[in-house]
Amino acid sequence: MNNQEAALLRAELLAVTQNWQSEDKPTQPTDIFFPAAHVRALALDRPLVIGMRGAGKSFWSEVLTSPVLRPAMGRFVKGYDRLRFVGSIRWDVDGGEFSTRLPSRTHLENLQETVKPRELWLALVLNELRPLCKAQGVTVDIPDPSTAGGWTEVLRWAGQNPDALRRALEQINLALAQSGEVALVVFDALDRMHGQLARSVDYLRGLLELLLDARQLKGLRFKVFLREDMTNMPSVLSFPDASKLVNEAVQLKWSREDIYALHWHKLAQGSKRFQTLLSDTFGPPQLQLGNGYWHEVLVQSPPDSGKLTELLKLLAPPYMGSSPTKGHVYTWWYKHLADGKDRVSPRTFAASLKEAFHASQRPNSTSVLIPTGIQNGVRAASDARVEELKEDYFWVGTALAAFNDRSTPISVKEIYGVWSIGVDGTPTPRLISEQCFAKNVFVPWDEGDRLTSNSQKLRDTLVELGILILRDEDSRLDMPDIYRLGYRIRKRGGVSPRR
Amino acid sequence: MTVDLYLKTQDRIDAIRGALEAHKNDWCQYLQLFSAPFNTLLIVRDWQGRIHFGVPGNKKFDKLSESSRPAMRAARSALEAAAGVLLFDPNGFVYQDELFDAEALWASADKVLWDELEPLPAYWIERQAKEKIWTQSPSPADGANPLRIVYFGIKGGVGRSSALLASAYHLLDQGKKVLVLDADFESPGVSATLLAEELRPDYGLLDWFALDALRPDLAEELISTGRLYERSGLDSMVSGEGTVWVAPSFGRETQDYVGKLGRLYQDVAEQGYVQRFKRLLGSLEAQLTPDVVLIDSRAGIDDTAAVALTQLDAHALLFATHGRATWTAYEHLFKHWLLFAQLKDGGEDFRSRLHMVSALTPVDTTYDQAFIDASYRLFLDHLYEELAPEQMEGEGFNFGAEDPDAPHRPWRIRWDDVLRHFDPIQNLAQLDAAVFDKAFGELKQLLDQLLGAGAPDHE
Repeated sequence: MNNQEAALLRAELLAVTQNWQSEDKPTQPTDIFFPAAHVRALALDRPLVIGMRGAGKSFWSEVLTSPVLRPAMGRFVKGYDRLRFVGSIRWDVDGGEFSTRLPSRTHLENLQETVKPRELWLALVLNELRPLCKAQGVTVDIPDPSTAGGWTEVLRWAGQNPDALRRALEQINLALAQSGEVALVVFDALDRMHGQLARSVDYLRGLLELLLDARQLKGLRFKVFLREDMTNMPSVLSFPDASKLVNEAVQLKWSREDIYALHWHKLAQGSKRFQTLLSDTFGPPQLQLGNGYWHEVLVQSPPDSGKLTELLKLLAPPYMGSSPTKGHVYTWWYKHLADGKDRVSPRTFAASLKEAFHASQRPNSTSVLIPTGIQNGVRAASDARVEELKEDYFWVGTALAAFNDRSTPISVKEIYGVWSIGVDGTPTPRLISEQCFAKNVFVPWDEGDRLTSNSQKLRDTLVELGILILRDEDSRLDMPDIYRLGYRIRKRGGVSPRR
Repeated sequence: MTVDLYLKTQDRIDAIRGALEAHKNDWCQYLQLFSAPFNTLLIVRDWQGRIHFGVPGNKKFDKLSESSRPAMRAARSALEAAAGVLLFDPNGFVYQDELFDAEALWASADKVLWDELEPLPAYWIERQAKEKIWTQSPSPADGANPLRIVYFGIKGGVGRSSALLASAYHLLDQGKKVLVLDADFESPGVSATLLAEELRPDYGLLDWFALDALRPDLAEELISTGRLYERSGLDSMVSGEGTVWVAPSFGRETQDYVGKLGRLYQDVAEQGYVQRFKRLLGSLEAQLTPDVVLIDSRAGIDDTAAVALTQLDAHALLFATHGRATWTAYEHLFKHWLLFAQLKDGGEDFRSRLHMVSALTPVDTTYDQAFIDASYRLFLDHLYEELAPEQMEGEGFNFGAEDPDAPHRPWRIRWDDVLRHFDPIQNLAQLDAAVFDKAFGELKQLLDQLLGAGAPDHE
C-alpha cells in the first residue's frame, strides 16, 4: 500500500467508525454478528445469561424482543421456529411512572409486605402473557393494570392469590405444549428496578427460584440477562438447587478473535475499499447470510486467528515499535484494552478503533494505522470505559479515590487502611452503601454477609468487575491500564523518569 | 551506631543528593563562572569507599564576589555534613586550582551525570579497585555488531550451560553462524560439552588476556592464526549453512590457569577488563563474522558480570529459579545498576535487552504464577519507571504483569529428567524434537524473536 492508498482507505474506515453509536442498538438484521460463543446465550433452554458491562446483554435482549430482528436468529439457533410469542420485562425500556407493562417506582416502594418476591415476578410474567392467554383461550383472573385499580390492585391481588397465579401459568404452558409451541419472556436491566427491589437480594433470588421452577414448563421459556456482580453474592444463590442454574448459566464472552472479527465485519459493511482488501487477500466472499457484506474469514467458527492477524498486518505494522520486543500489535492492542479478567467489551474496542484511525492520519504514512495512533486509541477507549462505568457503577470513583497520590500495584493493607478511614471520616465501603441507598442503586455486595469485612467486600467486587487484580498471594492490588489510565492513577516504578 | 554510619552508604548518597538539591541555585550560579570541563561538580568515591568532592576554582571561592561567598560556604558545609563519616579525611574537597592535572580528573571518561539534579551539572565518579564497569556509558548500539546474547545466572547449577548449548543447536539448525564464548572463567564448563577434548584449541580466552598484558600484538596473532577457537562437534549433526565456533576459557596447552585468572581483572595500559573484553570480542567477531555470539557469563552478584550485561550492547538472559535467595540477590544487583548505570527514558538502554529466564521450571502453574509475581515485583521496584497517570504501559519503561513482551516475563525452560546431563553430542536422543521442544521450546521462541524472524507471540 502506498501512502495515498493508505490515506484513502483510512478516510473511508474513519468515516464508517464515525457512524457508530455509543449505544449500538441493533436495528436491522445486518447489525447482527454472531460469535459462536453466543449461540448458547440465545438457546431457549438456557434461562440465565451473565455478562459484564458492554458484553452485549441489551444487544441480545433487543434482538430477541424485536419482531424485525428475531426471525433472523432462526438460522443460528435451534427452536426459534416454534416461538409463538415473546414478552419482555426490561427495566431500561419499559420502566416508568405510567407504564402498564411494569409497576412504577412508587408501587414498588410501597410493596413491603403485600406480595412475596416470587409472586411479584409471576404477576409480571402473567401480565406480559395476557395477549397470548387471550389468543389461547386461557382465562386469567389477574386484574389489568390499565384499569382503574392499576398496579396497586394487581400487586395486592397477586399477593392474595398465589395459587391462582400458578394455575394460570400452568394452563398457558399446557396449551402451548400441546401445540408444540413456546412462549419466551425476556428479562433485562434488573439493576434499573426501583426502590426496595434494587436493594434487596430477595427479589433477585425470587426470580432465580422462578427460573428453576420453570425448567419443568415445556411451553414457557425465560431468558434473564444479569450483570456479573448480581450473581456474585452468595445469598442470591442460597436456595436449593441453585447450583443447577449456575451450572447452565451462560457467560457472554468475547474472545480476542471475536472482537477483531466483529469489528472488521462492521468496517466491511461501510467500506468498499476494505471489501476489496478482503477479497484481494483471502479471495472473494463465498457466502451470503442475508443482506450486507459477509466474508467467511470474518464469520467462520471458530475464528482463524492467523487470518485475522494477517488482516491487521495489512492495516498496521506488525510491531508496536521497531522490534518484536515492543509488542505484536495484534496481541498488544487487545491486551492493553483488557480488564483484570482479560476481557474486552466490543464497545471499548470500537472506541479505540475510532480514535486509532483518527490519530493515525499522517499524510506520509503507508500504513492505515500507526502505533502512536493505536496508543491514543487505547487512551480514548479507557476514558470512554470509565465514563460508561459511571452509569452502572457510579461508586467505583469513590472507591478508587484511595489511589490518589498513590500508585499501583499497591499493598492491599495500605488500601484497606485508606478505605477504613475514608475521605471525610466515613469508611469508604459504608459511604458507598449509603450513596447506593440514596440513589436507589443496587449495592454491589451482600450487606447481609457479616463474616467478611466491608473493605474485603469492596475489594472483591472491584476484582470481580475486572477493575483490580490481586497478585502476590492476594497481598497486592494491581490495575489494568484500561482503568488506570481512565481513573488517572500512577503506575509504580522504582526508577523516577527524567523529564 | 557508628557501624551503620559507615555501612549505610545508600543513605549517605541520598543525603548528598539532598544537600545539592537544597543549594542547587548557589551551585548552579557558581559553576556557571567556569568553562568546560570545569563547569561541573564531581563526586568521587574512591576504592576504599571514601567520598571526595571535585570543585572548580579554589577553596576561597574567590571567583565570586565577597558577598556571594557565604552562600557557597554554606553549600559546602551542607555537603560535608551529608557525606559524614565517609568524607575523605583530612580533606574531602579537591579544588581545581590545587591539582596538578585537574583536566584529567574533570575529563574522566567514566563520570555519570546525576540527572535528577538537573540543571545542576553534578557527576558521580566511581573508582573501584577492580573495574569501573557500571559507571561507563554503555557503548552505543551501532548496529555493526552481530547479535550478542549473554547467559547470566545469579547462581550456578540451574542449567545455564545446557540452555546455551540448546541455543547453539537451535541457531545452527536455522543455518546461523554461531560463536560461543566461555567467559565463565571462575567456573568454565560450556566448552566441555561443545568441544570434545581432542577438538579443544591450543589456547583459551584466559591466555589471550595474559598475553595481551605482555604483548598485545601477539594476543592479536593468537586470534588471527586460529589458535583460540574451534568448530564444535555439533556441526556434524546438522546439515546446512550453519556452524558453531567455540572459544573456550582454556585450551589444551594452557598452563598456570589459576595464576592467569588472578591477573585477569588488572588494568592493562589504562584499560580495564571491560575494554579489553570488548577488544577481544571485536577481534573474534572480525575474524569469524558470526551471525550470533553466545557468551556464558560468570555467575553470581559480581561486578565483572556487569561487563557483559551493560557494556556489550548485548541481550542478557537472566536465569533464575523461584526462591527468596535468588530474588534477593537480583535485588542487590539491580539496586547497584540503578545507582550507577546510565539510564535513558523509556528504557532505551540495557534494560530493554534483559530477558528473564525461568530455569528448571516444574510443570506447575502455581509455581509459574509465583515466579511471575516475584519477577514482576523485582522489576517494578528496581528497573521499571514510574508512569504518570496518563502514560500507558510501554510509553515509559514499565509493563503489565502479564504482558508477554515485558522483560520480567519469564521464558520457561522446563525441567526434564532426560536433560539432566544435557550432552547431545554424546546422547543424540536428547535432540529428539519432542524432548527438546518440551524443555527449550520457549527459549527457541525467544531466540527467533531476537533474530527478528517475525517470531510468534510469547503467550
